[in-house]
Amino acid sequence: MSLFSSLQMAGNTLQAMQIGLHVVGNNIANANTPGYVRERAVFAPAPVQEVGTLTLGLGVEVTGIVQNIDKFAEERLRDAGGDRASAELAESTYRDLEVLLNSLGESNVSAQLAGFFNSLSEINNGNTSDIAKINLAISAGEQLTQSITTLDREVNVLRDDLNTRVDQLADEINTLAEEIRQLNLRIVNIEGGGASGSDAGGLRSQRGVALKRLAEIVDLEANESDTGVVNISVNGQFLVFEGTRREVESQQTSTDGTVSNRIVFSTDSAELPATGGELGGIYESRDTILDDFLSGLDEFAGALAFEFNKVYSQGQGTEGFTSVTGTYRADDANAALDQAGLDFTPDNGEFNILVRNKNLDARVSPDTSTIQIDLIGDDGSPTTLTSLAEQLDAVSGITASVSIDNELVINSESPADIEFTFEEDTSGVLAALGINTFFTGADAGNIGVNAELTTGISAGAKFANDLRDSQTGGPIGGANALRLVDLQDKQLSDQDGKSIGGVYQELIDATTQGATTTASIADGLRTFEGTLEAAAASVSGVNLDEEAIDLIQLQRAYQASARYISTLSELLDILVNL
Amino acid sequence: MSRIPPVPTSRIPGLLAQQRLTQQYQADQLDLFRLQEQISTGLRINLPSEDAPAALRAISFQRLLDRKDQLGDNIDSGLLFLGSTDATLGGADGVAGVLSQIKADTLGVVGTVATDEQRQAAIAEINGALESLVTLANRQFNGRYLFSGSQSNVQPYIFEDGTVSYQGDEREIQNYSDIGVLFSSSISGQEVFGGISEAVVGSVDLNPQTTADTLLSTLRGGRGINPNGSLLIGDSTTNESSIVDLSAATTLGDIARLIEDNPPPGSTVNVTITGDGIQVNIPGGNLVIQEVGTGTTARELGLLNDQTPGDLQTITGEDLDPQFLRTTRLDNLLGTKATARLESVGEGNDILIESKLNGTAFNGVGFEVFNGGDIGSTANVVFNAGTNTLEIYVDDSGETTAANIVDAINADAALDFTASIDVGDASSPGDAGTGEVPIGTTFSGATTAGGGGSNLDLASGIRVVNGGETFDFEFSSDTTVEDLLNRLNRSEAGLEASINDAGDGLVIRSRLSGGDFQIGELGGSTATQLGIRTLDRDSQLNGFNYGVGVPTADGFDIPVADGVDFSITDSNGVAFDVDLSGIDFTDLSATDAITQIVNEINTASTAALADVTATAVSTGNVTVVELSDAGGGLEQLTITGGDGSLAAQYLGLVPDGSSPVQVSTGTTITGEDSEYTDFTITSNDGQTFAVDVSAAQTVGDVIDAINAATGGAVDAQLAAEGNGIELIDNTGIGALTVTARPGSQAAEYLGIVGADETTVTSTTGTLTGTDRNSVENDSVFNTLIRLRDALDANDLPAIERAAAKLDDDIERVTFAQADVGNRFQNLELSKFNLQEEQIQIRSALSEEIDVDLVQAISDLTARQTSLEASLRATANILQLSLLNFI
Repeated sequence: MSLFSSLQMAGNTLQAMQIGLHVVGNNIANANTPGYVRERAVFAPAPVQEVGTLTLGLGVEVTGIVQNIDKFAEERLRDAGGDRASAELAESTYRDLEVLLNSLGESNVSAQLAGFFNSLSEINNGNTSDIAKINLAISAGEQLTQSITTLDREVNVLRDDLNTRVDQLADEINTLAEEIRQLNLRIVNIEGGGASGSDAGGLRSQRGVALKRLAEIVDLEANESDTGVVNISVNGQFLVFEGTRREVESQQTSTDGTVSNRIVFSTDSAELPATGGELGGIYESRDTILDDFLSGLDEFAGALAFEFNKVYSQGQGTEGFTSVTGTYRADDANAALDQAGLDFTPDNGEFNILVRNKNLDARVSPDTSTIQIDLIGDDGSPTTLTSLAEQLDAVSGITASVSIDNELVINSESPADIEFTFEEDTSGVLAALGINTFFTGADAGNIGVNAELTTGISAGAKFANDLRDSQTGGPIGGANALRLVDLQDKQLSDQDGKSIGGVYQELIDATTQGATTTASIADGLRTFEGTLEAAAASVSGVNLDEEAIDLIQLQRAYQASARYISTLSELLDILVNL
Repeated sequence: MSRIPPVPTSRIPGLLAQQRLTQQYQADQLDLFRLQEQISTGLRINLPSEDAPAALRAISFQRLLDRKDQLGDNIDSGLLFLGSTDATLGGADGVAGVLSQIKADTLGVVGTVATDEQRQAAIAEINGALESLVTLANRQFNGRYLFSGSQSNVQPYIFEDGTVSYQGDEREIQNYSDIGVLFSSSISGQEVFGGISEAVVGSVDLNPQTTADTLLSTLRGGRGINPNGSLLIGDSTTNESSIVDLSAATTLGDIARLIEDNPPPGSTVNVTITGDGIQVNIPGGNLVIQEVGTGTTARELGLLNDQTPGDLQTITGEDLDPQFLRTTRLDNLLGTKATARLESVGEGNDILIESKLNGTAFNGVGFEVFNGGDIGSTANVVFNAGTNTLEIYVDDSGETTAANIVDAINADAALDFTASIDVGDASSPGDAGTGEVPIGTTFSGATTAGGGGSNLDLASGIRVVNGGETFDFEFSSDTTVEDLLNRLNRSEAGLEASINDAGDGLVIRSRLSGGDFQIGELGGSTATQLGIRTLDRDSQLNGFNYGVGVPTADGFDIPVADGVDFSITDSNGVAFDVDLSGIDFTDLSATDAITQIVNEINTASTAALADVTATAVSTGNVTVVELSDAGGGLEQLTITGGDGSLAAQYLGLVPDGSSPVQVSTGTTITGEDSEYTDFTITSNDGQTFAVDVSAAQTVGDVIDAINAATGGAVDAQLAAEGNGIELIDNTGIGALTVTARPGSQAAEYLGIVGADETTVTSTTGTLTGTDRNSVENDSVFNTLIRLRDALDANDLPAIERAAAKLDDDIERVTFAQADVGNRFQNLELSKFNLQEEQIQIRSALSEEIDVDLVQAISDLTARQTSLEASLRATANILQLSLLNFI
């Protein structure tokens, strides 16, 4: 033992305090750095020296600098972040839908539907053949179909946006995974499997931030190995393992014309099985929320078109047809009509085609021919599109055929003199084939108003607002318009007892309820995340007051140690001056 | 929606404190912004999810309001139309006013004192009124003809050629005044002015037969078969059954097919559609048909048979009584065709036979298959009238198929039957008819059955007289009911022909006002078969002559004095008095009365020991008193009328005069019936028949009375062409004369003699009367035209009749006006209620989504304070640091 060794010890102490002060300084510097984990210098007594029978302490040494971190809380926070991100996506998707639906506004589909029926009701407020009023009803129908197709298109844009976001997330995953992989390597290099396990504090903080973001994107599992490497897997599939990672990419798949982007591993195209996080939220929003909404909207548009057309097609306009082509096509013209691949399926039944000479008094009954739609096969074989055309072709005054696109075409043999209309269709075949119909199309994307009613100034005269009196065969003015108005409240057996408006209302109800539910789930998750964040921060966050105390303590130790050196120096002076 | 995460219990790092404070500050800002938006938009919520229950209620209120707004428009438009209609009907210049004026003006010229000038002035006024009423009736409002029913762009009344025809219908234009509540905003011209005649309602059930195409909805008189039905069909010999789901069926053919396709396991079921229903057959089995659960389908199809024990291979359903439609074939009316099912062993070889015509004559025909030699894939058919069997000759080596037989039957135009393949017997459509029918087959003795009724005589046609013009129609080229109706409706005859409400007959009406309307035969029986003849045996006489009826002689109405009615002196000079006052003649027919008088005379004669015998002698359908004297005395049988009694004159026993005496030239005196009969018919051979039609109620009664009177010398019947009573002289062609008896207008009012005539003679052997049972149109225009014509002809009874009808017209207009007024009031009430309702809905809507400003503003102030406090706290907390103290 010598003064020099004491001096050495004091020097060591000064150095240790300097390190301690540096750590405090670093903490203070990062007090406002998000994701920064508070560090702490670990002081330990230096190895002892035996002098004779005595064992002398040799001062202090810094054994390491460790992060003050609650790894469990951090992990829970990461998970909660993923859940929150997923729920927020669903929340914002519903919110976007609500905005598009504009249910509380004045110009939404539901208001257009009511307006359309109102305009039909208006037909009977005057001359029931008044073209002006009929044209208003037709244009109200066009507005309705436009607002349906617009809504459909806008929701599809939302859907496309989500696909784009999937593409962006693929890039972000790759970037984050690469960052983590590199940080893994550097941390291992620096720490070299060091004892404290958190020597590379800054790098770990960086990795923590990247990991947190990655966990927001996908519901990952992160395990830190003994060497300090974090291995990341997503539902069993490794994304980062030791110093390697798997590249992911966005892959486009298309089902029935609907494009869905999903993230897959570039190497084997195996899907990155995300069920949570932003990506899971996107999948859920796109494939469930939006697609359910779109199919609900399609169902509504289909119900509107078919149910309306079924009633509409029973009526006759002031003017008949001289040529009409079905708006719906069959897949197979020689298959029974209920199996011919039509958008809507007709039933067994029949309808009447009315052929009249235009030059005769309109009040007199036209020539009625009953056309059987025999789907039971009374005469051996059920009615097909081809046999229907043959039946129609046999009716005097008209010709009928099946077009190259498998549509039914009916023409007057003498357009100048002979026109035809339809009535009493118990089979729904006219609505299914698009003959004497108001709406065309079968889903929200393609619903429209029959061009027969919109092409030309007097096309409205074909609007089927009358019915034929079954006893006299004469027209009943406005009777079909009245039945169409009645349809508004009619409970439809094919729609589980709902009305047409009810089908749409159900869509609004589902969206509103979904929006309410997801908003409260997201809110709950945000609170939960906030709680966990606070818990994690309470361990890892920098408190300046705390650091100030540490600063004072270290400063004081430094001062004391310096004082000790000064004392030793004085002692040495005494020795030297002896 | 601010969330409050818990505060950590251990340390508060600076960054956490800062984040928390920022969050709080942002939450406050957000709330402030939300409140500001609520206040500026006036809406409490912008997106439904902000308050889902309230938003959904609000959405439904908004839609309800949209609907109610339109309903309000409907009511307003209805009020305008009804108001305009009311204005047209009422007031001095309105319909009621014009009619009242006409009535007042014409009453003055009714009677004999009016001069020709006065009548001409009235006629001119009526002509003016006709013009102005047609103008009123054709009034338009807001683009709609007010009085054309549902035909809002069809001019309702057309005035040409002296008649007015109604072009509209009897319907009304309706619209909703509330959800599910309809109101009519128009009244048809028929209800105000009239314009369509009373219906010539088909009195005959045309009884259409059932076919494979018969719609289920038309069965059971239009009540149809309940939808979505099913029935259970079983075979009690195998104890197997199956449930046949008939929900997809719309025609009887569907039912037949579905039953055949779903037999009980192990059995075959054949279904035949007979003329009036369904027949189900289970070869070799015992058929049971039951309901499924509480269904009614089997009963409705007339097939229910759940308790019949024993061997029942065939169930013949009850008459399904279908209605007919416009598309029903005319040859399916009035009867049924005989059918048979020719069943052979094997598949694809069953043949269905149907007679070409209706009637029982085609029942009972058998079928047998013979060897026709080597004729290949053909067949020959020969009808053997002796055995009433259709003999079918087929190829000796089995080359003939069922389809060949069907072709052979259908190719033989002389046969009464057509044939078709039973597709139900084939396993696939392609196999139908390809099976062989073996030689020697008699089809288990199957014979045609089910034929009945008659065939509609389409070739003869009908004759329609309307508005003074005659139109002849024949229907031989028509195949469906619609063809027939269209032929009538499309003609110039001003007809409206339709199917009746029950769907079992025709209704024909006239649209013309101002003329007579008659439907008669054209040499056949078409009109009668269709039940549309305006004059038939069932026509009531009290409807003749526009409801005047047929005035006859008063029946037997003998004027009896209190004392002696007449005295009789026989050939021996024995005299006795006859007093008829003891007889009660009330309700006695002429024959019975004469019998009583004869008894009274004989009693008096016997009492006086006179040799006079009275008998009742029949001369046609009436009897007269005949006295015969068997005394053989020197004096003549003499009858002297009693003082003050006209009884003997009435009986034709003494001539008319003040002190009538009848002295016989022989031994008998025969009375005369001229006082109590209506007319006489004198045939070519000089016989005269007196006819009393006083008891007749219908045209049939008159025809029967004439035929009874003439005893076959002259036949009475309905005219073969047109209408009217026709007399045919069977004693030869010469003079056939009908002479009205004085005091009876029956012959004239029956149309046998001309108007204001008393006699008519035909030299052709046939005397055809005119139709005095015309239908006319109960319309304002008809009344005015009749009135004008009557004034022109100065026909007093006709003027009186028309004046009376004018009252009916005024009443109808008044009624219509009241109806319109009533509707107007109801609609105004609906409008009032609707407005109330709209206010309530708006207030409910406001409750749901409108912002409560007081609350919003106080919330805003509270939030402002909170934000301020928050900011101050943030500043304080962030400033406070230990570093300040070292």
